[in-house]
Amino acid sequence: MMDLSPGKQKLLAAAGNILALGGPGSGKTFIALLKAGCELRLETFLPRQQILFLSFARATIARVAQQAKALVSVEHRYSLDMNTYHGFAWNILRSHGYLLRAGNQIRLLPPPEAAARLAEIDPANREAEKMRLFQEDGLLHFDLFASLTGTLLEKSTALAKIICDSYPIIILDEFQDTNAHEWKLIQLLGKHSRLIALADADQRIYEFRGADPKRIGEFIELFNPAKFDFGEENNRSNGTDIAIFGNDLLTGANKAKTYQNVVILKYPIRQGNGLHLDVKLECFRAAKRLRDTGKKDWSLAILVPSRQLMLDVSDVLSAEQSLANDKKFPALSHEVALETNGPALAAVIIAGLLEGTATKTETAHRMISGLCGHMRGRKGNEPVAQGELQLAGALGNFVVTGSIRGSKRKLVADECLRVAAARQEMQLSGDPTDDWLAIRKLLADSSAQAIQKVAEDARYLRLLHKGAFLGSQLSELWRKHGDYNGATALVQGALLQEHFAASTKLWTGIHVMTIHKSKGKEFDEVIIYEGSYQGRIIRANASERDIAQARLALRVAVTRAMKRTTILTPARDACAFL
Amino acid sequence: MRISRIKIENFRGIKSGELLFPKYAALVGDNNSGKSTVLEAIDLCLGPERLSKHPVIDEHDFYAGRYLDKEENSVEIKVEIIVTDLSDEQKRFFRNHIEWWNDAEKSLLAGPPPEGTDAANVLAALRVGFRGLYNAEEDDFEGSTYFLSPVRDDGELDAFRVFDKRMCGFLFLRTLRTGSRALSLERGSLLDIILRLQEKRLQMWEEVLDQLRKLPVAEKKELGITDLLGSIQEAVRAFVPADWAKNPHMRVSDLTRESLRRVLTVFMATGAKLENGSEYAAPFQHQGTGTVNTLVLAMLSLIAELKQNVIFAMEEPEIAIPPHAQKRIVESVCKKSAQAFFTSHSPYVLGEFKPSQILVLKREDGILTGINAEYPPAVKPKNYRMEFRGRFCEALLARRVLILEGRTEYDAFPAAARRLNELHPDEFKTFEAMGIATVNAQTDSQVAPLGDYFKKIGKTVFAVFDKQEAAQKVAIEAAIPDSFESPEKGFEKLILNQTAEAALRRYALALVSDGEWPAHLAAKTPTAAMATNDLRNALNEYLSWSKGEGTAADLLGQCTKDEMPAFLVETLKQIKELVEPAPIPPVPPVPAAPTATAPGAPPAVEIPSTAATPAAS
Repeated sequence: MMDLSPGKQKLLAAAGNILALGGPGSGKTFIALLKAGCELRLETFLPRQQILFLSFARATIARVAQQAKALVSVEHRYSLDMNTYHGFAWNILRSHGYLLRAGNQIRLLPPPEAAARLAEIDPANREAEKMRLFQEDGLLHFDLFASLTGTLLEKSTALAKIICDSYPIIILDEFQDTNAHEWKLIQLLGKHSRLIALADADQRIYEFRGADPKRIGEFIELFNPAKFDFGEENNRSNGTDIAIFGNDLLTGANKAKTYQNVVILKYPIRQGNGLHLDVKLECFRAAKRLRDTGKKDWSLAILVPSRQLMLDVSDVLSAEQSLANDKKFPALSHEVALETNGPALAAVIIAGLLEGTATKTETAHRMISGLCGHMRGRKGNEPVAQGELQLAGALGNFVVTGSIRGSKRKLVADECLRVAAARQEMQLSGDPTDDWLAIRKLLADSSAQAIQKVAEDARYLRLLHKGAFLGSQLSELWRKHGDYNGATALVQGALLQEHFAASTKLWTGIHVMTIHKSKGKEFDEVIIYEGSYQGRIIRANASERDIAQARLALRVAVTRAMKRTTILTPARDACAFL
Repeated sequence: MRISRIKIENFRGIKSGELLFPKYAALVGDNNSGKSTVLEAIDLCLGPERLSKHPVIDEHDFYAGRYLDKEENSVEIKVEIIVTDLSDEQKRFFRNHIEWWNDAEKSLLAGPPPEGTDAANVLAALRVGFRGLYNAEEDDFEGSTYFLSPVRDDGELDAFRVFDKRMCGFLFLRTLRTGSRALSLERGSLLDIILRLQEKRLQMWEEVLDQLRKLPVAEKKELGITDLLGSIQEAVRAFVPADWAKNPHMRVSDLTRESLRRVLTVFMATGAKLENGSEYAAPFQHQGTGTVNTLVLAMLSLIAELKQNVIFAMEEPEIAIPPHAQKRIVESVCKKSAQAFFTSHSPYVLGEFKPSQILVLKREDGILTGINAEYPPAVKPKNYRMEFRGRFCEALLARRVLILEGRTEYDAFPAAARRLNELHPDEFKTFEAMGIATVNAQTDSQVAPLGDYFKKIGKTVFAVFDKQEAAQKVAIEAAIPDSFESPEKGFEKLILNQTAEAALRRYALALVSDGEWPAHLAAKTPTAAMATNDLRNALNEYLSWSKGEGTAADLLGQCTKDEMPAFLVETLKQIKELVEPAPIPPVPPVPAAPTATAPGAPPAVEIPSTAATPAAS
């Protein structure tokens, strides 16, 4: 175990509320877990009392759980409850939410479905619509988790007491990223429980969802915590300049300096098959370096600014390339941290077609409503093109009236009818994989672009790692009933799980993900790759504010590495931060 | 923790039922009113060991044995229990399953506002349930326990597991089990529970298994077993290589915890001495029942001390235990537990409970209801215990109650019924056979209030009273429709005026010849030749003097049916008919009208349902 700095030793002894500040890799999580272990060893806890560790991402929880194994003794491990802010709130709402609204059972509104439902609502009215969906239909949008839980605990003192009594100490990871609702919930919990907030003011990249620069100051004012600043310490990339580079990025001081273990490469203009080969080459090199260290569970991340670039890079890694010198670039197995909205909605459409209905008209109608959901929701919270919204509206109308105007729109409607008819003709084999692919092909072969997109998105379903699970469940359906009745519900259930299951997936091997997704994770090596035109770190026509956010984001990305960070930027137009 | 409410559907004799429980409760009701079923239902939900029994339920556990309905769908056994008064630890542990119980309104909060949870009388509560059904695909009965809140997205419920049940601390002592299993090591026995509470089981099993694995068996050469095994080894050599079947020897087999549980038990000295002076010990179940039951009680106290917040349910703690010990049990169990239920037929046990703690169960057409008893009319709380044992206990336990106006009737009616049943068993039944308990109202003004009281707690009530003023008679008949007014103003008068003279004279002379005629009435000693009126007067004085000693009952017990007062005979006859209405004579069959069945349709055949397994008795 590493020697503790005097500051950290003092933190272990501190009573009351605590605020621990520090940059990436300064060991905030580490010291918080050590503190948890200390508190548990004091044996002042009553039976079934626990320490709650809250963070944003499930991946973080998985990593922290791994770390806890080394820091908290076995007999106390039960006493450490780790959860995401979402998971914690949903547990409470699922059990007690009926106190907030009368009527049917509360159901989660999965993000893809939520995006589809909100696509046509004016952004100014979306909050009200989310609330209406909850109050009237019992559909719970993820964004309401914190505010509703806050309301519930504020109004039911008896319930708040039970929750706080269960968690005498609550550790708040990534505290700087909490939005106003989460902050209100934390304030309620802080009335009875001790709070340990872990924060890095410079790592705030969630401003789009309501993180506020004033948050840390508010915490100090309200909870009068013992303050610790580990800003100068660096444990993640100890012995490297990675953390220093990250801090220098904020001021621009990096431009004039060179750093140990931070390498900036400028790649030439590439076209056609050569596109993204530079990053693949770097990937091979980094993997070799890591293998040579002899470390077994090494991890390498390729971090990119945009989702599209992530998919493109993934495609290049997956394929085999022949090089001019007769050499070959073999396929490189890796994982992609994909946004799941598009694939999820596509999977629901395919499941619906697998299930089938009594008549082809009914099947077509069902497919159309799935298709509308897909068009509206596949991009998550990003705005949807007006044309697509209008098409979705027209298709919805078509289901009711049977008529549609405009040749392009009519084509989509006709194609849905054709696909439905073809499905009705189709003989299913009972092998879920074959049947699934057959349906997907039916969609891919469509002449309507909207339907092709479904097939396209469905291809990425493999990246969600639900294939084996869905396969066995669908097989079971077929074995029991000789058809796929219930497939839709099954697929929806499996994909919803994804949002809560505290996946204990370990971050080993090669991962491709967006910079935003990398938050809270750590890897042995990191490659940051920006495209020549699309997928830039600073996007074209960026405002002052966008640039500041991009700077923070790049710092987060850089500091994910423990051993080395490589940044690939186009030579033609290198990133302005470097 | 305590059980506040239970709902039962389709379980054994209960088609549906709902009961609210006080902190301590004695469940009473006549046999087969569902007392044990209620405790079994609680055990299905909360008993940590109950679901390890296989099968958990069988066809006899379904109401009327029907586990499939007419459309061949599974019928479900459902039990729902609400527990309240959770300890802080339980609240923490069950926090994701807690609901809110309004103890004044006896209902759960169903929705907004959230502030409702903070109101007075609102308690954190846990709602758990058992579901049992016949699974046609598996061709087996299955049952599981669940937290009934919240319902998951997929409509399923979270399982309520053994570990969760242990947190609830429910302990059920069946009558049968009490004796034979308490000190065995079978799952759920008292000894097992105590060992688990003290966390001593694991070490113990490992040690015992270790000892037994090494235990040499029949290895002395002179026994011949070793030689025999040796020759088997030789014989085997003829067929297979030498390293097969090597070194055969005997050991205790089946060394698993499960089998040890069945064979290990506690031994105790019996008091008998062996030749060498040591005491002979026998398994505890060979001890006298009283000793065993007392042991059981001692262990119960121990459990209650080890485990706070325990809920005891006990069937008939009185069996083979003297009255003073019965009272001690009830007192100590109540003192040490969070909640306790008893079923009992013992006046000593029941006398320990206030009327509000006595839950009178009644079952009609499978519908179970429970009513809290109250103080009977004109009984003061301070006299309650004594009065209870003497006057009310039996009536509480019976299905039907006959209210009689005074002590003489109270003695005489059962005697007359018994006598008539003896002489004419087809025509008359004893009160016991009809499930009728008699209550002495002590005065005519109490007949109507007592009638109200017993009707309220679900009893079928009859009453017999002396000739009344018109107003009083109306009041009684309003309270008790099945009541019978005597033609005379006093019961003695009825007997003297309506009993055949021969019987009176025979009885009087027998008294004299047996030397029982009292000295102060010597001047009126009956003789064979005494005038009828004088005889009646003499007997009148005798009956008045010996009131309360059951002499009227004696007299009636010697009468034939024709000699008995007609009012008495007629009343008993009518009561019997009310209890067991004579079967309606069958209507002669009417020739069937031509049916609308289409020509060629198969004739309707009544197929006996496969589901109609006979109900458990």
